Amino acid sequence: MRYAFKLKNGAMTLFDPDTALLSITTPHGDVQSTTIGRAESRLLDLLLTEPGQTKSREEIIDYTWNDRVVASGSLNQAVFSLRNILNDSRDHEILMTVPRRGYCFNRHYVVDPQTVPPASNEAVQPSVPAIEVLPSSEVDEVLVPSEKPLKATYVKKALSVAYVVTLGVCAFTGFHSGFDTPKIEISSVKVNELVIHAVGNSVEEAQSLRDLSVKQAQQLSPNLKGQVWLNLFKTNYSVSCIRPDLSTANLQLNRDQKDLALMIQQCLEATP
Amino acid sequence: MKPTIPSIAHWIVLGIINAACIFSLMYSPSYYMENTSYQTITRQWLEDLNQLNTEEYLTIGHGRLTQTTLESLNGKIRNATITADITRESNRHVQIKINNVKLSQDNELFAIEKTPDLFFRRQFVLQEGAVLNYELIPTTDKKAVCFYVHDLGRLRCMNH
Repeated sequence: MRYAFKLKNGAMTLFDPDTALLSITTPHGDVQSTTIGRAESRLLDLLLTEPGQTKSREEIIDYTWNDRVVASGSLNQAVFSLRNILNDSRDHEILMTVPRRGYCFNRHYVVDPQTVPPASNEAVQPSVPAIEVLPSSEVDEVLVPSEKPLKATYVKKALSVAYVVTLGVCAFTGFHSGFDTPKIEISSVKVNELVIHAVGNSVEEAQSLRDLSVKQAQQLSPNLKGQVWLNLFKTNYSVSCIRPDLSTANLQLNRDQKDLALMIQQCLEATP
Repeated sequence: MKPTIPSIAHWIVLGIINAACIFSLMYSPSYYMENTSYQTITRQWLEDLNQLNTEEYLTIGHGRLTQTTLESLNGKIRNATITADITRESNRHVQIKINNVKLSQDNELFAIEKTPDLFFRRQFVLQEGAVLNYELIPTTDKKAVCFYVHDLGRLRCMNH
């Protein structure tokens, strides 16, 4: 038989006395499973068999330690430890002390195990509800708060899916934007009606080519119009141009073969 | 702790991020016109100072790139058509993978072995499966497109 009860912070707890496993589902849907000590497990088992019923110290010691002779401090230690686990060490609302009589488990914290969110009771086999003794009105009363963590779990799962989808969209966008592709640098200068763009693999390379082209362009006719792109790849110049009529031409040659100025002029004046 | 308030904030932030991503995807003006045939002429001076003239045609669209080159030298003509799939694309970059090469003749029009650099570049570009990275250069008019092929160190301007 398994038991379910809530904690003061709204967390739902499942307790399996056979394995001493305590599974706590927080209101945010996090599940924390802990195997508690044998003494604490037996103590909790005994108190949960009849929540609200006071068990005497002798009865508890007999059940918990199976007739072994233990000091009374052992029970105190087990109670202390269990309260710490249940976050009940301050006001003892869950594991209550009944003065001069013993201890009892507050039955208002006990809930039907079948109402606990699936994430926390996936190990739980369908079983008879632990709290047959509870009047139906009390069961209904504790059902309402148990829906909160369930809803929180769904919200959290939906958010997780949304985050994954967003990550995918961002990755696709990044992939699409070509952020990791090689880039060229362009350094431009205007000489009269002519715009020269030097293309290089680095800013320095582009600026160097631009400076060279400016020197060469001084030899050119001031009437030349259009846009010219220059690139030096190894020992070869590439000159590409767009003329005022938007026709284009491209020249390629070894830099030792011709002057850059002459190439620019030929590019802008070349005819098919 | 109330989970609804932070979850609303989460949803808003996620919505903004997704909207920004989708907007940037939708609004990414290309520097070229899709399915438009661009053309240009190119003159290349060879080692022996012969002039190799080419006419080049380029079309990009529907995830494919097709480039046809007609080269002529001393009255001899040869043409080559390359078709490629666009594997990645942004407004400034186009990455292609060549999937088909058609040559009118295998023989080169000139002694290409004398220009090993050109020889190896042609070997590369005429090989099916080769990946080329085009970087588009902004121009003042969309009727003209300029680009740099990183893998070949090739600069081109073409017009519609």
